[in-house]
Amino acid sequence: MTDFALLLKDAAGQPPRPLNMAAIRQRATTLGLRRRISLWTWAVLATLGIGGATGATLATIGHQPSDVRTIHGERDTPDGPVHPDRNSGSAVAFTPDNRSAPGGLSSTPVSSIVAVPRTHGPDTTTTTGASEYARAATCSVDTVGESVRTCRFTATAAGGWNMYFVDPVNGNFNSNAHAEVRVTRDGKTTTYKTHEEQWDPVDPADRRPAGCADNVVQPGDQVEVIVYAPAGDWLQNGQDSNRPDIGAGAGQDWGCTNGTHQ
Amino acid sequence: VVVEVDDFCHHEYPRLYGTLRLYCGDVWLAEELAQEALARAVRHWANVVRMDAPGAWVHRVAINLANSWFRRSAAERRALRRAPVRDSHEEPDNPTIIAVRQAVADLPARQREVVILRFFHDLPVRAAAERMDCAEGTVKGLLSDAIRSLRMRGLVVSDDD
Repeated sequence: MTDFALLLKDAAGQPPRPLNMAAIRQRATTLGLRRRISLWTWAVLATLGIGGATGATLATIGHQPSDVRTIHGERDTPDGPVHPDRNSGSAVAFTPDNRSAPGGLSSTPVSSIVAVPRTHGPDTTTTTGASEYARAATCSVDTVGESVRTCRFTATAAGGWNMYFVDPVNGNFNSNAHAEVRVTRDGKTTTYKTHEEQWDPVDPADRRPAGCADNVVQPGDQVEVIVYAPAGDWLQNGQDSNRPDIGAGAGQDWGCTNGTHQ
Repeated sequence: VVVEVDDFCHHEYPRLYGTLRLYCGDVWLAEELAQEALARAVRHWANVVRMDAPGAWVHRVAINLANSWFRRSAAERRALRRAPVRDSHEEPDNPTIIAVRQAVADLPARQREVVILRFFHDLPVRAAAERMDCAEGTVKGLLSDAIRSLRMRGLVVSDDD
């Protein structure tokens, strides 16, 4: 054992208070109750057709001009190509003129707790006449507090992409949310999409979106990050103080390798 | 071997707390997250007790919870990056211990985790790789980078594994 190991054990210290098993049991009971209530609520809403949109449905939902927040809320940019309208569910046609977002985007990546170093194969399409996005090394979006969830940039550095989720303070969550990252290079757009992962090995119902890839963005690429969250999803229904959220980002320092970089 | 949930929690709690203290750099956050991880173990005990390594599972849950916590608040994340290790718990720690905590806290998360597994849990590289669900080579690479960073902070670190 090295001196450093001994030092580290000293640095770790001892818990400030003894373990209270009664409190742990109470907390475990609360976790279970929250889980059952939320799943039941979700099932009822889906049965009634309230907010039960699926990913396939979402793909057809358009957008309304709106602000876009980065994870840090440091930079707002206008407009987003996908913005499910929670109030009306209406679809608004995409406006190519809105694709050019002025100003740079900047954020520090955080990414999936289950940063799975594999991703489903990307889709590739050829596009023409895409507008130039604002130059930036990276951008990211989340679902905290707002329903807007897209950002775009013209990459100034190489990088990857990743989608992360954040647990609620209490309880687990399931979500039909998913993300896409569209990378356009030389007129050809490659789309990377999330897939669903089982997160908790002892709770098969605890499934979450996941996806990442390294080195898919090169300087000069036009990159669009989109997080889709169904209306009625937990992400939007939860209370602010105990709401899970998800996000995605691309560009410098994003990817699978840096999946847990804070 | 039948393990009672109370025994399991009492056995794992100090190590969970220590792991999270080093990982998060905060006494009370470490206590909170360690208890949350144990609550999840209690909730799933019927399944957890049948696992080959229940301790490894609750450790993974604890790290996941810590990562979730950090990601919850962007403002806190920025503050944590700027500020020295937060530690509201008054302890008569010597400067070396404080320096060790700070050096570990400044490591990137994956490097921090591998250092904790290797030097706090005393796990061999293979076991650390299993815990982190990655290749042994990845662990060795992370460990090498971490040791280099720690040495640059003046700490004497060697790894003979």
